[in-house]
Amino acid sequence: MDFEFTREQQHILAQLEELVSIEHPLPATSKRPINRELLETLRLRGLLGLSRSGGRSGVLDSSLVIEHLSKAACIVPVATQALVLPLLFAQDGAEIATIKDSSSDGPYRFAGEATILIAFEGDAARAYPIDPAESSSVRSNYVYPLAIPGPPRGRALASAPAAAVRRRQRIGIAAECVGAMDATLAKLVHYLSNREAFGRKLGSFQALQHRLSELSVLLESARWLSREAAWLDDDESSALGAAYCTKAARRFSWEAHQLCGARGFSIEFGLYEHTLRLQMLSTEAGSIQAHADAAARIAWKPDEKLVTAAGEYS
Amino acid sequence: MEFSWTAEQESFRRDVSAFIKETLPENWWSRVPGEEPYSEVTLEFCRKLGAKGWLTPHWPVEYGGGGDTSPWRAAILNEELWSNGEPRGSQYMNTNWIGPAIIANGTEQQKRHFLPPITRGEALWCQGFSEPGAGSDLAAMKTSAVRDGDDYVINGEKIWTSYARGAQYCFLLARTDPTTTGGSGISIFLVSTKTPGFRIVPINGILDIHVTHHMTFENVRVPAASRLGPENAGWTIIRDALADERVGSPRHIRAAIILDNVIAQAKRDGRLSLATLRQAAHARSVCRAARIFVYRIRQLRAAGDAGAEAYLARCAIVNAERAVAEVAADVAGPEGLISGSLADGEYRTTLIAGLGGGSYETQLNLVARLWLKLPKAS
Repeated sequence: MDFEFTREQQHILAQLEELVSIEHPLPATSKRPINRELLETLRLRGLLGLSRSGGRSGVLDSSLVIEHLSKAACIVPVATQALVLPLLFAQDGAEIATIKDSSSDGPYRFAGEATILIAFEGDAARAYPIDPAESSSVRSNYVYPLAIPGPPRGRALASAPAAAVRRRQRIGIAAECVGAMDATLAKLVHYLSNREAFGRKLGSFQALQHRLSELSVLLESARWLSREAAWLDDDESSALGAAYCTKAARRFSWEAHQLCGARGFSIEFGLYEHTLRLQMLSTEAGSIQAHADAAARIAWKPDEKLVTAAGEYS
Repeated sequence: MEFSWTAEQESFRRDVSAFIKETLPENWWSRVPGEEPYSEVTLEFCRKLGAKGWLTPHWPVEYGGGGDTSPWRAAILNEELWSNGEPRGSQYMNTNWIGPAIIANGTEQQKRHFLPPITRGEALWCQGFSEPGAGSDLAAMKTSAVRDGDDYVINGEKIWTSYARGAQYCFLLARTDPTTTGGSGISIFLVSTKTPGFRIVPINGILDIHVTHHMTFENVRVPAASRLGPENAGWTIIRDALADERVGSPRHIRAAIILDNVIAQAKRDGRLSLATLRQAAHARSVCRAARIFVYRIRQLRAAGDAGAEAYLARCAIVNAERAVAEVAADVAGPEGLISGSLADGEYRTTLIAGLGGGSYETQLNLVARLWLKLPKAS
């Protein structure tokens, strides 16, 4: 049990600091494209293939990358590229992949630019080639480019156990939530520490302080639970991590806008970069309750009819 | 960064678990921690635990400890004991923070007198902190200790004190500088509960699993040598000591076990629903989050100081217990009102969780000030 970063992890985080700090701000729009330049840099530096190392540390290292880039609000499909594609392909390619739930046609993140569709078929998850031109983009404000993917074109390129893909998907979601919650709280604290109303700084009101403190409890708990899940890389830990982090994400999204007032709705203020992303993350991979169902199934082995009756994700 | 136990640590956990099962009566685990703070079972258990060196593995060797500077043996011990109804009774306080406070601040005479009985499992302490006018606002306390030659004379009252009736000693806070308010001007005294003028009366309450007491001090004369640390420096000592206590009781570990038992019982009774399972899974995630967060704090403490993060972890523990109590109550329905039921025990212990060792709201205040550094009210 050791909560300190290793020298390798410090090196990874230093590289990320350097990359994200030189990133040019992107125009604020709800239909921003993927930052392909950043994604390619990550690939060339080996930061997308860390989970291939075989040891537990590799998945944890990947989750640290995801957490960091999410905090910086980067639009890159890093969770899928760093945690899921290594289960399917031997090399870190430049293709963009999107993951389709069995219970919904979407829309999904990155589907408009994806050339690979990962679909669940029974106990397997298969990667199919798709044509981005056949995807249907949707009107949405949830930060990421969202689209309904087109149909598979051709035979499966690769397959992996469905449980392993879901596990990695959940680890990625948890890490992304942590990064976005971290950024949200930092913005909230800064705003409420400076904004004056009723003759004093808003952040000096105990009613608001307690709410921010409770968000901190959620964030720091989520941070360590997410990292532990990545280290353990098992079905139960990933489901519990995703359940906790997505539930916290939903609360963060509400609370942040409530605490910032109408200013939080403006593009200029930029809060939406994190809060809408959190709301989106809470719906991904079957949503909050699907993670809870998966965790319950593993922990208590209930009658299968109970958890499948509600159209459970897995 | 890694989140696994070593083979030696896992072996230690198995040894502790086996010892507990061999030593305690069957079904002891179902006791609510603190339910029998000084019964013969707990006294005998602590003597045996002390004989194995497992009461104070984290203390320095020269004071009867195991000299283990790593935080993990103590963490494992705490978890296993708390999971089994905390059979140390009130003695968990001795090993967690009273003894360490004496080690850090006591005179050689105090260490020789007070520490060996703790390591042997023969010492019973209580803490004299809250007063009728100073609960969460502990620094508002008024109990006074006035120097008189080689003695101090103590007057005042303490309230809501756990474990006082059976205690031999009280770890007492008193104001030694009457011109001060707040945290300054407070000193700590190690006082025998048999001292003339020291009176202890139990308070009737709804927590029959956990009795609290009212303690009065009427011209209680104690030698100056019973003062712990320098005069008027008590606040710093107690703040450091209680930093251990923020995460000293792993309530989340026991809550997770109760949750398993609640679900198992619901399954047997055919009462398990999808809604219950989902609620329970979320509660399980809250317990798991508290557990890993507490480990983080333990490592920080072992390295020196956990700082404000410890207050966050304490809140996480309270949240875990509450989440489980909700599931237990919802699953049990009216049967959860029966004394001794899982839901009843979990409800009552959850009521204590948010208050014992400093209220939940006090932790939130400290998080706001020290962790988030939010502005003060002008």
